[in-house]
Amino acid sequence: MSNPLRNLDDFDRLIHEPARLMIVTILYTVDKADFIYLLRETGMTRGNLSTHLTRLEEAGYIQIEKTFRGKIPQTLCSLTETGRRAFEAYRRWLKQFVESIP
Amino acid sequence: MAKNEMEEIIQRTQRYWCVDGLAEIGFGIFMLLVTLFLLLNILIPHDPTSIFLFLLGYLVIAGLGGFGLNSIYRQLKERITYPRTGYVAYRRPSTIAYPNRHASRLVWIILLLVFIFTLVTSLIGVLQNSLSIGANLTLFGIIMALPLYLLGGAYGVWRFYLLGALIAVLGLVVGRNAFSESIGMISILGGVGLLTIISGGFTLVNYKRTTRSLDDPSRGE
Repeated sequence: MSNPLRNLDDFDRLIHEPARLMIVTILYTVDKADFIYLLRETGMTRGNLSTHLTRLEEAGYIQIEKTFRGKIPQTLCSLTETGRRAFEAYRRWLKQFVESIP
Repeated sequence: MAKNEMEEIIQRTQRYWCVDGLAEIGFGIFMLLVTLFLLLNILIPHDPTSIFLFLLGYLVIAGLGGFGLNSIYRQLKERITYPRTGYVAYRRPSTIAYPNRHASRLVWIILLLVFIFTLVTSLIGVLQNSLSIGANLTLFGIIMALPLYLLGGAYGVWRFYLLGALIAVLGLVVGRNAFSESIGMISILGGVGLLTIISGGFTLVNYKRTTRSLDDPSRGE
């Protein structure tokens, strides 16, 4: 029987962080979401959310687009293909890890 | 984060489209328009010219109504929902090409309206000889309620279950008091429209009461 604790080395630490996992989970479900929606849903502070978004963007998991909705500035976030695959891999790992625990 | 918490986040994001009740209000208004046209269908004389003009007017007004409702819906989302709880765009099928989006939408709206009209008149014809009027209408109420149960189950929205139950009860009540099948079905459709508008209205009032607009946080950051 394999040691489930060995699987802990395989997971994506960037996505595994709870705040970023929440962000990626939301973005996985949609095409785009703006900063306000992410702020509301995650319950983070603005600075905290910005920091996590920047980390994900630097890793190539999300794309951030600064645009306007009429005259109002808007920050749109979307998951890249890399981010989507990373999240799917994380979900598979999580499922396997949970199932491997007796 | 546990696996079921992730699933809850996914489901909550998927049902965000109905958080403000605007879609229900729009659907309710659409159903009232359909009801109005079915009522006119009964009232107008059934000579070929009148029928042709009626169908033409039906297609034109229904198409414009579809576009008009969609435009109003988007504007209300911009004014009410997005400043309060944010903007979300859902993923579209990437394999379908839309060479002309407006023409494609118009075709789909017209097809949908023709389908609804045909469904209603076909149901009247098919069931007329096999069941009593009351049973027909009760069954029709259940058929109208079914999509709401499915939506409620798909998105975990309890008020859709409640709405479905009310529509089924409406079918039963209309069935017990039916004087004619066509009038009964029109009554049910009108009732569906009113009930969804009321449901959407309550949802909208509650949404506005429990949320407030935020300035865009990216301003100045």
